[in-house]
Amino acid sequence: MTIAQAWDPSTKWRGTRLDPDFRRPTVEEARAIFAGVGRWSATLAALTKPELDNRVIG
Amino acid sequence: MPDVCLFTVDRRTNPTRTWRPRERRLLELIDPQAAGGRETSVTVIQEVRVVVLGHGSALGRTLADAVTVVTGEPPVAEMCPGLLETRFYAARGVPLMPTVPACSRSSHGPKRVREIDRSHGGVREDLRARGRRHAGGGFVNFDQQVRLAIYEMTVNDGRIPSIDELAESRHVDRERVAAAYRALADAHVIVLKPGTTDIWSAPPFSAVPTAFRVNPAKPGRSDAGRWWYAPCAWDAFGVPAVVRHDVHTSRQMRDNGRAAAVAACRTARHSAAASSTSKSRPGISGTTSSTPERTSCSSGRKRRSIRWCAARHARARRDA
Repeated sequence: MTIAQAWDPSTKWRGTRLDPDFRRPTVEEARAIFAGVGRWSATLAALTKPELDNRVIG
Repeated sequence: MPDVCLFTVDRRTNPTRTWRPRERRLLELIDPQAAGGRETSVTVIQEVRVVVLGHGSALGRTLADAVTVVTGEPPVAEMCPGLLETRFYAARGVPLMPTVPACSRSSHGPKRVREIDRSHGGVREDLRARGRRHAGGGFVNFDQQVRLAIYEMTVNDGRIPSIDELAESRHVDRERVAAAYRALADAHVIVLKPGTTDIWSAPPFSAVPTAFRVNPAKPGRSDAGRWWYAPCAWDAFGVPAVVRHDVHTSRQMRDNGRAAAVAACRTARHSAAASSTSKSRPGISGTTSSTPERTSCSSGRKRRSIRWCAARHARARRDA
Protein backbone atom coordinates (compact mmCIF):
# COMPACT_ATOMS: atom_id res chain seq x y z
CA MET A 1 0.00 0.00 0.00
CA THR A 2 1.37 3.42 -0.90
CA ILE A 3 1.09 6.59 1.16
CA ALA A 4 -1.44 7.95 -1.27
CA GLN A 5 -3.57 4.84 -0.97
CA ALA A 6 -3.56 5.13 2.82
CA TRP A 7 -3.86 8.91 2.95
CA ASP A 8 -6.99 9.31 0.89
CA PRO A 9 -9.31 6.89 2.72
CA SER A 10 -7.85 7.83 6.11
CA THR A 11 -8.65 11.50 5.61
CA LYS A 12 -12.15 10.66 4.45
CA TRP A 13 -12.65 8.26 7.35
CA ARG A 14 -11.19 10.47 10.10
CA GLY A 15 -11.44 13.97 8.66
CA THR A 16 -14.95 14.67 9.93
CA ARG A 17 -14.26 14.03 13.61
CA LEU A 18 -14.27 17.72 14.47
CA ASP A 19 -17.52 18.38 12.66
CA PRO A 20 -20.36 19.19 15.07
CA ASP A 21 -22.68 16.87 13.19
CA PHE A 22 -20.19 14.04 12.82
CA ARG A 23 -21.51 10.52 12.37
CA ARG A 24 -19.86 7.23 11.58
CA PRO A 25 -19.94 6.27 7.90
CA THR A 26 -22.56 3.83 6.80
CA VAL A 27 -21.58 0.52 5.23
CA GLU A 28 -22.14 1.90 1.76
CA GLU A 29 -20.05 4.97 2.52
CA ALA A 30 -17.29 2.79 3.98
CA ARG A 31 -17.19 0.65 0.87
CA ALA A 32 -17.00 3.74 -1.30
CA ILE A 33 -14.15 5.14 0.79
CA PHE A 34 -12.14 1.94 0.58
CA ALA A 35 -12.93 1.31 -3.05
CA GLY A 36 -9.80 3.17 -4.13
CA VAL A 37 -7.41 1.13 -2.04
CA GLY A 38 -7.05 -1.57 -4.65
CA ARG A 39 -6.41 -5.06 -3.36
CA TRP A 40 -6.79 -3.84 0.24
CA SER A 41 -10.36 -2.69 -0.30
CA ALA A 42 -11.95 -6.07 0.29
CA THR A 43 -9.97 -6.61 3.49
CA LEU A 44 -10.70 -3.14 4.89
CA ALA A 45 -14.34 -3.26 3.92
CA ALA A 46 -14.67 -6.61 5.66
CA LEU A 47 -13.45 -4.96 8.87
CA THR A 48 -16.39 -2.58 8.84
CA LYS A 49 -19.15 -4.36 10.63
CA PRO A 50 -22.61 -3.33 9.51
CA GLU A 51 -24.07 -3.44 13.00
CA LEU A 52 -21.47 -0.92 14.12
CA ASP A 53 -21.30 1.31 11.12
CA ASN A 54 -25.02 1.82 10.83
CA ARG A 55 -25.07 3.44 14.25
CA VAL A 56 -25.23 7.17 14.32
CA ILE A 57 -24.45 9.45 17.23
CA GLY A 58 -26.56 12.57 17.55
CA MET B 1 -63.99 64.76 31.99
CA PRO B 2 -64.51 62.77 28.77
CA ASP B 3 -67.73 60.90 28.21
CA VAL B 4 -65.97 57.66 27.45
CA CYS B 5 -62.67 56.42 28.84
CA LEU B 6 -60.92 53.32 27.60
CA PHE B 7 -57.85 51.83 29.16
CA THR B 8 -55.99 48.53 29.16
CA VAL B 9 -54.63 46.69 32.11
CA ASP B 10 -51.72 44.37 31.49
CA ARG B 11 -50.89 42.27 34.49
CA ARG B 12 -48.28 39.54 34.41
CA THR B 13 -47.92 37.56 37.55
CA ASN B 14 -45.14 35.30 38.65
CA PRO B 15 -45.96 31.60 38.91
CA THR B 16 -45.54 31.84 42.65
CA ARG B 17 -48.57 34.11 42.84
CA THR B 18 -52.08 32.92 42.28
CA TRP B 19 -53.84 34.87 39.60
CA ARG B 20 -57.51 34.53 40.50
CA PRO B 21 -57.50 36.60 43.74
CA ARG B 22 -55.63 39.35 41.94
CA GLU B 23 -58.03 39.26 39.03
CA ARG B 24 -60.92 39.52 41.45
CA ARG B 25 -59.32 42.50 43.20
CA LEU B 26 -58.78 44.22 39.85
CA LEU B 27 -62.36 43.71 38.73
CA GLU B 28 -63.64 45.04 42.03
CA LEU B 29 -61.89 48.32 41.32
CA ILE B 30 -63.73 48.61 38.01
CA ASP B 31 -67.05 47.55 39.43
CA PRO B 32 -69.89 50.09 38.77
CA GLN B 33 -70.44 50.54 42.44
CA ALA B 34 -66.78 51.26 42.99
CA ALA B 35 -66.91 53.59 39.99
CA GLY B 36 -69.68 55.68 41.54
CA GLY B 37 -72.52 54.09 39.57
CA ARG B 38 -71.07 54.85 36.19
CA GLU B 39 -71.47 52.32 33.37
CA THR B 40 -68.48 50.11 33.03
CA SER B 41 -67.64 47.10 30.90
CA VAL B 42 -64.67 44.80 30.88
CA THR B 43 -63.35 42.85 27.89
CA VAL B 44 -60.69 40.22 28.47
CA ILE B 45 -58.40 40.43 25.47
CA GLN B 46 -55.98 37.73 26.52
CA GLU B 47 -55.82 35.44 29.50
CA VAL B 48 -53.12 32.81 29.45
CA ARG B 49 -52.24 30.40 32.18
CA VAL B 50 -48.98 31.09 33.95
CA VAL B 51 -46.21 28.68 33.05
CA VAL B 52 -42.64 28.25 34.19
CA LEU B 53 -39.86 26.25 32.58
CA GLY B 54 -37.10 25.78 35.10
CA HIS B 55 -33.45 25.29 34.28
CA GLY B 56 -33.93 21.67 35.34
CA SER B 57 -36.35 21.00 32.49
CA ALA B 58 -35.19 19.08 29.41
CA LEU B 59 -35.12 22.27 27.36
CA GLY B 60 -33.35 24.16 30.15
CA ARG B 61 -30.62 21.53 30.46
CA THR B 62 -30.13 21.31 26.70
CA LEU B 63 -29.93 25.09 26.32
CA ALA B 64 -27.57 25.41 29.31
CA ASP B 65 -25.31 22.69 27.88
CA ALA B 66 -25.22 24.38 24.49
CA VAL B 67 -24.46 27.82 25.96
CA THR B 68 -21.73 26.31 28.12
CA VAL B 69 -20.11 24.61 25.16
CA VAL B 70 -20.20 27.81 23.11
CA THR B 71 -19.15 30.32 25.78
CA GLY B 72 -17.29 28.13 28.26
CA GLU B 73 -19.53 29.51 31.01
CA PRO B 74 -22.88 28.21 32.26
CA PRO B 75 -25.77 30.63 31.70
CA VAL B 76 -27.64 32.27 34.58
CA ALA B 77 -31.26 31.13 34.66
CA GLU B 78 -33.79 33.78 35.66
CA MET B 79 -37.55 33.87 35.60
CA CYS B 80 -38.99 36.30 33.06
CA PRO B 81 -42.68 36.89 33.75
CA GLY B 82 -42.95 39.38 30.94
CA LEU B 83 -42.59 37.03 28.02
CA LEU B 84 -46.13 36.15 26.99
CA GLU B 85 -44.97 33.96 24.13
CA THR B 86 -43.80 31.31 26.55
CA ARG B 87 -47.35 30.99 27.87
CA PHE B 88 -48.89 30.95 24.42
CA TYR B 89 -46.66 28.14 23.18
CA ALA B 90 -46.69 26.22 26.46
CA ALA B 91 -50.48 25.99 26.19
CA ARG B 92 -49.88 24.23 22.87
CA GLY B 93 -47.28 21.86 24.26
CA VAL B 94 -44.23 23.70 22.90
CA PRO B 95 -41.61 24.60 25.50
CA LEU B 96 -39.88 27.93 24.99
CA MET B 97 -37.07 29.74 26.78
CA PRO B 98 -35.66 33.15 25.84
CA THR B 99 -32.03 34.17 25.94
CA VAL B 100 -31.21 37.78 26.78
CA PRO B 101 -27.89 39.63 26.87
CA ALA B 102 -28.34 40.74 30.47
CA CYS B 103 -30.40 39.99 33.55
CA SER B 104 -34.11 40.54 33.31
CA ARG B 105 -34.06 43.40 35.81
CA SER B 106 -31.88 45.57 33.60
CA SER B 107 -33.75 44.43 30.51
CA HIS B 108 -37.01 45.71 31.99
CA GLY B 109 -35.66 48.64 33.94
CA PRO B 110 -35.66 52.33 33.02
CA LYS B 111 -32.38 51.98 31.14
CA ARG B 112 -33.61 49.13 29.03
CA VAL B 113 -31.70 50.17 25.93
CA ARG B 114 -28.56 48.07 26.14
CA GLU B 115 -25.74 47.66 23.75
CA ILE B 116 -25.41 43.99 22.97
CA ASP B 117 -21.75 43.12 23.00
CA ARG B 118 -20.30 41.17 20.17
CA SER B 119 -19.67 38.10 22.27
CA HIS B 120 -23.33 37.70 23.07
CA GLY B 121 -24.26 38.28 19.45
CA GLY B 122 -21.76 35.59 18.55
CA VAL B 123 -23.26 33.18 21.04
CA ARG B 124 -26.70 33.72 19.63
CA GLU B 125 -25.49 33.23 16.09
CA ASP B 126 -23.65 30.09 17.09
CA LEU B 127 -26.68 28.70 18.87
CA ARG B 128 -28.87 29.52 15.90
CA ALA B 129 -26.39 27.85 13.55
CA ARG B 130 -26.31 24.73 15.70
CA GLY B 131 -30.08 24.74 15.86
CA ARG B 132 -30.32 25.00 12.08
CA ARG B 133 -27.85 22.20 11.53
CA HIS B 134 -29.88 19.94 13.73
CA ALA B 135 -33.28 21.14 12.61
CA GLY B 136 -35.67 18.24 12.59
CA GLY B 137 -33.34 16.12 14.65
CA GLY B 138 -33.49 17.96 17.93
CA PHE B 139 -30.85 20.23 19.36
CA VAL B 140 -27.29 19.08 19.72
CA ASN B 141 -27.46 16.38 22.34
CA PHE B 142 -25.11 16.19 25.26
CA ASP B 143 -23.18 13.16 24.00
CA GLN B 144 -22.38 14.99 20.79
CA GLN B 145 -21.23 18.03 22.73
CA VAL B 146 -18.94 15.88 24.86
CA ARG B 147 -17.59 14.14 21.77
CA LEU B 148 -16.85 17.48 20.16
CA ALA B 149 -15.26 18.76 23.38
CA ILE B 150 -13.02 15.68 23.55
CA TYR B 151 -11.70 16.29 20.05
CA GLU B 152 -11.38 20.06 20.45
CA MET B 153 -9.39 19.68 23.67
CA THR B 154 -7.26 16.94 22.14
CA VAL B 155 -6.39 19.08 19.14
CA ASN B 156 -5.79 22.22 21.22
CA ASP B 157 -3.96 20.65 24.17
CA GLY B 158 -2.18 17.81 22.44
CA ARG B 159 -3.68 15.13 24.67
CA ILE B 160 -7.02 13.47 25.27
CA PRO B 161 -8.87 14.97 28.28
CA SER B 162 -9.98 12.96 31.28
CA ILE B 163 -13.55 13.17 32.54
CA ASP B 164 -12.52 15.54 35.33
CA GLU B 165 -10.62 17.80 32.96
CA LEU B 166 -13.49 18.01 30.51
CA ALA B 167 -16.12 18.52 33.22
CA GLU B 168 -14.08 21.31 34.80
CA SER B 169 -13.25 22.92 31.48
CA ARG B 170 -16.85 23.01 30.27
CA HIS B 171 -18.47 23.60 33.67
CA VAL B 172 -20.68 20.55 33.44
CA ASP B 173 -21.51 17.82 35.89
CA ARG B 174 -18.87 15.08 36.12
CA GLU B 175 -21.41 12.25 36.25
CA ARG B 176 -23.07 13.48 33.08
CA VAL B 177 -19.72 13.56 31.33
CA ALA B 178 -18.96 10.03 32.56
CA ALA B 179 -22.30 8.83 31.22
CA ALA B 180 -21.55 10.49 27.89
CA TYR B 181 -18.13 8.78 27.77
CA ARG B 182 -19.81 5.42 28.26
CA ALA B 183 -22.45 6.19 25.62
CA LEU B 184 -19.77 7.22 23.13
CA ALA B 185 -17.84 4.04 23.86
CA ASP B 186 -20.97 1.95 23.36
CA ALA B 187 -21.39 3.62 19.99
CA HIS B 188 -17.75 2.84 19.10
CA VAL B 189 -16.86 6.52 18.75
CA ILE B 190 -14.19 6.31 21.47
CA VAL B 191 -12.51 3.37 23.18
CA LEU B 192 -12.25 3.16 26.96
CA LYS B 193 -9.65 1.30 28.97
CA PRO B 194 -11.23 -1.96 30.14
CA GLY B 195 -13.30 -1.56 33.28
CA THR B 196 -12.77 2.21 33.47
CA THR B 197 -14.11 5.43 32.02
CA ASP B 198 -10.62 6.54 30.99
CA ILE B 199 -10.22 6.99 27.26
CA TRP B 200 -7.77 4.64 25.61
CA SER B 201 -8.34 6.04 22.15
CA ALA B 202 -10.41 8.70 20.43
CA PRO B 203 -9.50 7.75 16.88
CA PRO B 204 -7.25 8.82 15.32
CA PHE B 205 -5.71 9.88 18.64
CA SER B 206 -4.35 7.56 21.28
CA ALA B 207 -4.33 8.50 24.96
CA VAL B 208 -1.46 6.12 25.66
CA PRO B 209 1.99 6.28 24.07
CA THR B 210 2.31 4.21 20.93
CA ALA B 211 4.91 3.66 18.25
CA PHE B 212 3.15 6.19 16.03
CA ARG B 213 3.80 9.79 17.03
CA VAL B 214 2.65 12.65 14.80
CA ASN B 215 4.24 16.11 14.96
CA PRO B 216 3.30 19.47 13.44
CA ALA B 217 5.09 19.99 10.20
CA LYS B 218 7.23 23.07 10.29
CA PRO B 219 9.59 24.20 13.04
CA GLY B 220 8.80 27.70 14.18
CA ARG B 221 5.07 27.32 13.90
CA SER B 222 3.09 28.20 16.99
CA ASP B 223 1.99 24.59 17.25
CA ALA B 224 5.33 23.08 16.37
CA GLY B 225 5.88 21.80 19.90
CA ARG B 226 2.72 19.72 19.97
CA TRP B 227 2.35 16.16 18.91
CA TRP B 228 -0.14 13.38 19.17
CA TYR B 229 0.02 9.61 19.44
CA ALA B 230 -1.96 7.58 16.92
CA PRO B 231 -3.13 4.04 17.75
CA CYS B 232 -1.74 2.65 14.49
CA ALA B 233 -0.10 3.56 11.19
CA TRP B 234 -3.49 3.94 9.54
CA ASP B 235 -4.61 6.48 12.14
CA ALA B 236 -1.31 8.36 11.86
CA PHE B 237 -2.61 9.51 8.49
CA GLY B 238 -5.91 10.50 10.08
CA VAL B 239 -4.34 12.92 12.57
CA PRO B 240 -3.45 15.64 10.03
CA ALA B 241 -6.92 15.25 8.57
CA VAL B 242 -8.44 16.07 11.96
CA VAL B 243 -6.05 18.83 13.05
CA ARG B 244 -6.44 20.31 9.58
CA HIS B 245 -2.82 21.03 8.78
CA ASP B 246 0.20 19.23 7.51
CA VAL B 247 2.31 17.27 9.93
CA HIS B 248 5.50 15.36 10.09
CA THR B 249 5.12 11.85 11.33
CA SER B 250 7.88 10.27 13.30
CA ARG B 251 6.98 6.68 13.38
CA GLN B 252 8.80 3.93 15.12
CA MET B 253 7.46 1.00 13.23
CA ARG B 254 7.58 -2.24 15.09
CA ASP B 255 7.94 -5.56 13.41
CA ASN B 256 7.60 -8.70 15.46
CA GLY B 257 8.10 -6.73 18.62
CA ARG B 258 11.40 -5.27 17.50
CA ALA B 259 12.00 -1.71 16.43
CA ALA B 260 12.32 -1.93 12.69
CA ALA B 261 12.48 1.62 11.57
CA VAL B 262 12.56 5.25 12.52
CA ALA B 263 11.66 7.37 9.57
CA ALA B 264 11.09 11.08 9.35
CA CYS B 265 8.41 11.76 6.81
CA ARG B 266 7.60 14.86 4.98
CA THR B 267 3.99 15.79 5.15
CA ALA B 268 1.62 13.04 4.37
CA ARG B 269 -0.49 15.45 2.40
CA HIS B 270 2.49 16.38 0.28
CA SER B 271 3.24 12.72 -0.11
CA ALA B 272 -0.19 12.04 -1.43
CA ALA B 273 0.04 14.88 -3.89
CA ALA B 274 3.47 13.83 -5.04
CA SER B 275 2.52 10.21 -5.46
CA SER B 276 -0.21 11.12 -7.85
CA THR B 277 2.22 12.78 -10.21
CA SER B 278 5.38 10.78 -9.89
CA LYS B 279 6.39 7.28 -9.07
CA SER B 280 9.70 8.36 -7.60
CA ARG B 281 9.34 10.81 -4.76
CA PRO B 282 12.66 12.01 -3.36
CA GLY B 283 12.39 13.06 0.23
CA ILE B 284 9.39 10.94 1.00
CA SER B 285 9.57 7.88 3.13
CA GLY B 286 7.70 5.89 5.64
CA THR B 287 5.43 3.58 3.72
CA THR B 288 5.12 -0.06 4.56
CA SER B 289 4.74 -0.93 0.97
CA SER B 290 5.77 -4.30 -0.32
CA THR B 291 6.37 -2.75 -3.71
CA PRO B 292 9.71 -1.06 -3.35
CA GLU B 293 9.74 0.29 -6.89
CA ARG B 294 6.98 2.70 -5.85
CA THR B 295 8.74 4.11 -2.83
CA SER B 296 11.82 6.11 -2.09
CA CYS B 297 13.65 6.87 1.13
CA SER B 298 14.28 10.20 2.78
CA SER B 299 17.85 10.22 1.56
CA GLY B 300 16.57 10.64 -1.95
CA ARG B 301 17.54 7.24 -3.24
CA LYS B 302 14.96 5.87 -5.57
CA ARG B 303 13.57 2.43 -6.15
CA ARG B 304 14.69 1.26 -2.77
CA SER B 305 12.51 -0.54 -0.32
CA ILE B 306 11.49 1.11 2.91
CA ARG B 307 12.44 -2.03 4.73
CA TRP B 308 15.99 -1.52 3.52
CA CYS B 309 15.90 2.14 4.55
CA ALA B 310 14.38 1.22 7.87
CA ALA B 311 17.22 -1.17 8.58
CA ARG B 312 19.72 1.53 7.65
CA HIS B 313 18.03 4.06 9.95
CA ALA B 314 17.93 1.52 12.73
CA ARG B 315 21.63 0.80 12.32
CA ALA B 316 22.37 4.53 12.34
CA ARG B 317 20.45 5.01 15.53
CA ARG B 318 22.08 2.02 17.14
CA ASP B 319 25.51 3.29 16.17
CA ALA B 320 24.67 6.74 17.45
